[in-house]
Amino acid sequence: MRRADVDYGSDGSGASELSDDDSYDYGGVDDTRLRFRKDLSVAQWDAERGIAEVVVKKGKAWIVTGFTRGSRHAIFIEEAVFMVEQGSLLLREGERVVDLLEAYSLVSTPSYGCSWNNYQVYSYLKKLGYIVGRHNVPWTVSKKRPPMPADEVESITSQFAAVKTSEGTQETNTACSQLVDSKSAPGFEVNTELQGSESSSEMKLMYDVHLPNARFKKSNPGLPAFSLCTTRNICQVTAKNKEGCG
Amino acid sequence: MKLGVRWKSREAAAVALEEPISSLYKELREWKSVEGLLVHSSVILSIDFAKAQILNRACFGKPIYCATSPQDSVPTTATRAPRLLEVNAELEDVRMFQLGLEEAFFLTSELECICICRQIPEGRVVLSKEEVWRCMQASKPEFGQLYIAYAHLRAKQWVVRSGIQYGADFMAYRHHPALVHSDYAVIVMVEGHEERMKTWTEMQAMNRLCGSVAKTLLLIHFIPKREGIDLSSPLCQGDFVVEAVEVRRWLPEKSREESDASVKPVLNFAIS
Repeated sequence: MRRADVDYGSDGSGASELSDDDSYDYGGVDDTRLRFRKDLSVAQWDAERGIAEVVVKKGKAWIVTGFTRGSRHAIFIEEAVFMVEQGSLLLREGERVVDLLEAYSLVSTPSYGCSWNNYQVYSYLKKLGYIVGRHNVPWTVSKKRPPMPADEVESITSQFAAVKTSEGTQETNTACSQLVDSKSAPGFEVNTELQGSESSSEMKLMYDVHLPNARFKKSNPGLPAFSLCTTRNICQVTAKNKEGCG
Repeated sequence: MKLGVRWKSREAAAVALEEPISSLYKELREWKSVEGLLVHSSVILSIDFAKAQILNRACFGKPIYCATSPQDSVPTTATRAPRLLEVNAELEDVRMFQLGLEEAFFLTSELECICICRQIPEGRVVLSKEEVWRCMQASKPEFGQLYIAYAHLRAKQWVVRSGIQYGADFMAYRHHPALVHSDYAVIVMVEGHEERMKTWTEMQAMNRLCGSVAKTLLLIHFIPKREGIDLSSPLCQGDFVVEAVEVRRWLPEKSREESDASVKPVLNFAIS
C-alpha cells in the first residue's frame, strides 16, 4: 500500500469533535504555495514611522485594509505582511524589495506595534473573511470625526501609543471598556510595552474585528463585533456591542 | 492494563513500520545546515518540497500557505506599476515551514540539521546554541523545562505535538498522528511557575477529559540533581532527572482478577 493512500484528511464527524487526530495527513505535503496576482499593489515601508504607505492600489482588498488620512493610504506591518503572504502586494523599502522572511521578522518586532502571536491571530481571522483593524485606530478621518492634530497626522504610530480617544471613537467601545478594566486603558504603548503585555496578566486590546461584510465602508464601519487581545496562550475577548450609528 | 500501540488501521501500521521515526531522524541528520529565522516565538524555514515532506512525516512544525514568486519573475525596481507576471510561469519549489520553539531547538541541538539565525538591519546573523536558548527563554519563561520534557520524549522516538487543544502541554504519539491514536496527554510540572495538578478535582477533571478522547494522562516531573541550577543555559538539561508518571483511574470493581505482575501501580485514594 502506498503512503499516499493513507489519508485521514476529513474530520467532519461530530464524534471526532474532541479528537483532532483525524485531521492529519501522512505522506505528501499539500501544495501550500499561492500564486502571485497578475497585478500587484505596491507599498513603501517606512521603518521610522512603522507603517507602509500605499503607492499602487490594485484589487478590492483595500476596501477593508489600511487606514486613510486625506488622500494618503497607509497600512500597518501585519496588514502589509499578510498581503505579501497572499501574493497581492510588493513591499519595498526604498528601491529594494522586502522579501517574506524579512517581513516576518518585521512583524515580530515590538516597536512596530505587532508581534508574531498577534500576526497569527490577524492572518487567521483575515483568511476567514473577518475585517480586522487595530483597536481604536479610525479607518478614516471625515468631517464627522474630530480632526487630528497636525503632529499626530505626521507620526501615525504615536496616535495610538497613548490612546487619546476622541468622543467619536470612544462611544463604539463602551462595552469593551467595561469588559477590560482600567488597568489596560489608556492602553497601547507601541514601543516597549507590547512584549510585556503578552507575558503579564494585563489585557491590552489589539484589534477591533468586524464580521465579513461585502458592504463595509471605512467612512461608516459601524460597531466592531468584538475587540480582542492576545496572551501567550491565545484567547479571544468577545464583547457584544449595542448596535448604533458609527 | 491494556498495552500496545493503537494503530488506526493495518495499512497504517504497515506504513509506520516501513518508515520508523528513527529512520526519519537519520534523514534529517543528513541535511546541510538549513537556515531557520527566529521570529520571537517561532522559527521559520524556507525549504524545498522534499525537505517539507520529511518534516511533515516526522511531525515537526506546520506549513505556511503563502505566495511563491514564479521562477522567471524579476521584481521591478522602477517606481511605476510592476509589469504583469507570466500566467504560465512555474512556481518556485519553495515551501515555508513554521516550527515551535521546542521543535526548532531539538532540530538544531539534537539532530543538528538546522541553524537558527536572526534578522538584524545588516542582514541575518547565525546564533549559537546558547544564544538561541537565551532568546527562546526570554520569549517564553517556561521554555527550558518544557524543552527538557519535549526532548526527553522525542529522543525516545515519540512524536510530540502541542497539546493546547486538550488543555495539556503536549500530546505524545508513537508515530505520525495520521497513523496512530495518541497515547498520552502530557503535562509538564514546571517548578515554581504555576501550581498545577495540586487538587484532586483538577487531577480528576484532566483524567476524565483524557479518557473521553482515549488518551492517558502523563505527568513529567523534574528532580534536580543539585542546588542552584541555572536555567539560562542549555547545559541545565543535564542537571535534572526526568520522571514520567502515568495517571490512570483505578476501578476496584474491575480489578479483582489477577493483574499484570510486571506493572506495580501506586494507588492514591481520594475520599470526599
